[in-house]
Amino acid sequence: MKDKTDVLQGTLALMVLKTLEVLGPLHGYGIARRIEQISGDALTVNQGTLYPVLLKLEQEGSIASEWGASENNRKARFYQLTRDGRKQLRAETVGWEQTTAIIGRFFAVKAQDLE
Amino acid sequence: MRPVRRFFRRLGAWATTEDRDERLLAEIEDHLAHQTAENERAGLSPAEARRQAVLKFGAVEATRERWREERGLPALETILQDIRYALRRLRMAPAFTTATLLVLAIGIGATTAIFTLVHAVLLKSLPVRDPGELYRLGRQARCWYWGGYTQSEEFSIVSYPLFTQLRDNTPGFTELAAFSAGQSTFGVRRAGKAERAETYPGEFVSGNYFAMFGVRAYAGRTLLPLDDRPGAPAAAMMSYRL
Repeated sequence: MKDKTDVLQGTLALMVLKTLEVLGPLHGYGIARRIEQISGDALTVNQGTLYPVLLKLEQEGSIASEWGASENNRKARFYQLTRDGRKQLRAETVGWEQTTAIIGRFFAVKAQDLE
Repeated sequence: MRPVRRFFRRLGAWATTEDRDERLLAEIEDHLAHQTAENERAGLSPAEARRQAVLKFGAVEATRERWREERGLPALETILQDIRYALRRLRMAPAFTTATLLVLAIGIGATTAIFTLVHAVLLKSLPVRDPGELYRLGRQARCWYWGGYTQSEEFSIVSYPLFTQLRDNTPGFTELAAFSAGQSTFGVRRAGKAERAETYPGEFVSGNYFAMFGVRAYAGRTLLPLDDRPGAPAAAMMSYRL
């Protein structure tokens, strides 16, 4: 495994969608915090990389954003899942589970199982 | 669908240059404030809390760069820059520019003229029903083409009995029609008028001539095989131009 973050970059979008589904409207810091909490130290990407991903998801219509006031009364951009985003999340969840199940079965197979 | 939607959003973002990345900068500021507060709660001094927050966020410039690339259409932007640069350079060398434009203009003009000619002469279909199935019989391109008859050249002129023989015994052709060799002139006068007859060029053709070309009459009827019999009443067709 030479570049762990390459894979994580691709899944970051999915993590964002899932986070917004679970927690509802959230600003960038909240999303970053949540992803960090759940993944622990395993995910060592800079928080800054989150913002281009958010922009891309918004352009694709999966999430929407608007200005609001955050807890400390600052102007903050709040993101929330759209209907399209929910649909996309459902489809990608199924795809992801299938992939992990297949890979899991491959790893579980031992030499004697094949005899 | 999603990539299409994204493309139009990017096009829109590119067209409206306002708001550039102020939005991102505000978001980053808010993000850092949150993280700093968090760090302070964990017991760090305000300065150190801020420093740690910035470290955790990563390079702001790199984020801005990525964000800008995702936001608009950088490829389009680059092309436009290149065009602007090229135009600037051309303006600096007017002699070269003029010469180049002239050469291009002449080149395009000549090509267009030649193509127009080729199109009219070679490519445009004949105004008949099925130009692809039409053949002219004879041994040379000039066959049945000119009334002059010389010993030195082959004109493939056939007699009328030979034509009828060919017409009736060549099942390979749907239709075989003939026209007269040489040019004939006719005296033409309006029906019922006493004025002097005018001379117009004309041609004798076989009765199936128009049926073969699939050409219909604008008014009245075309000549038919019915007219092509001994004893049939004289019949003629007038061209539209006349």
